[in-house]
Amino acid sequence: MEKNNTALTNKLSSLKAAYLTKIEETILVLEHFSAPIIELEEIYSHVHKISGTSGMYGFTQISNLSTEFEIFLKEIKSQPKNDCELIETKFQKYLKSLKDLVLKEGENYA
Amino acid sequence: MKKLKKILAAEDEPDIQVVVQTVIEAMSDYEIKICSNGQELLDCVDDYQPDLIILDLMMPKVDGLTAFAKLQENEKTKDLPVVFMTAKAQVHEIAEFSKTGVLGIITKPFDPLKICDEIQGIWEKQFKS
Repeated sequence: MEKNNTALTNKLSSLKAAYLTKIEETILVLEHFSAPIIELEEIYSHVHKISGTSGMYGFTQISNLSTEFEIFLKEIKSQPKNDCELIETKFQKYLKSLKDLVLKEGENYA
Repeated sequence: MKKLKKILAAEDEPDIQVVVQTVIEAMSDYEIKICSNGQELLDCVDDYQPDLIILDLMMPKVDGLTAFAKLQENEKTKDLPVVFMTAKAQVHEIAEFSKTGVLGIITKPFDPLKICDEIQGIWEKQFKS
């Protein structure tokens, strides 16, 4: 089924670099959310998209972490908890870990 | 075995659309049209006349399950083979999806370099006893 592997590989590499930039931009958006519990749906939507797409581009660690992040957000959605401070702390921790991973991947494209 | 020629897909994420379109055009002889949601797919299925439909499950406007139900209700489309695409986080629902009569399920994230083989494998399943 393969027709032109080199051209395809180059194209996919280019798309991969562009997608990484997009994740960086999404993280900037997530960092500006002031109250995760209130803006949960929108946050979940962003993280779900990263979770579902990043693995396809070969960003396995980003995919795994964002899937974990997504599950955490899903749990808050289904069982709203009163401990907002704990939720905020965990949210920021996931966000920082995701950001660190993206920065690390970005070094490969610098 | 009937040859797979035309695929109609619904996927709302542009970053996935572009990769799927790119690899299928580069690695196969399939013709593929990608819609951004279930409603768009339903609007063009009659004209496009695909051999196979691929439905992402989570989409705005009309999601994959709703689009599948509507395809099943329509005499013209009820026998079209359908493949679901679903995220890894929802893999526990695969058994439930299989009961709906879909031909197969592609889980995300998938390896784009293997997607053509995966689609072909699912397509050929319907011709095996």
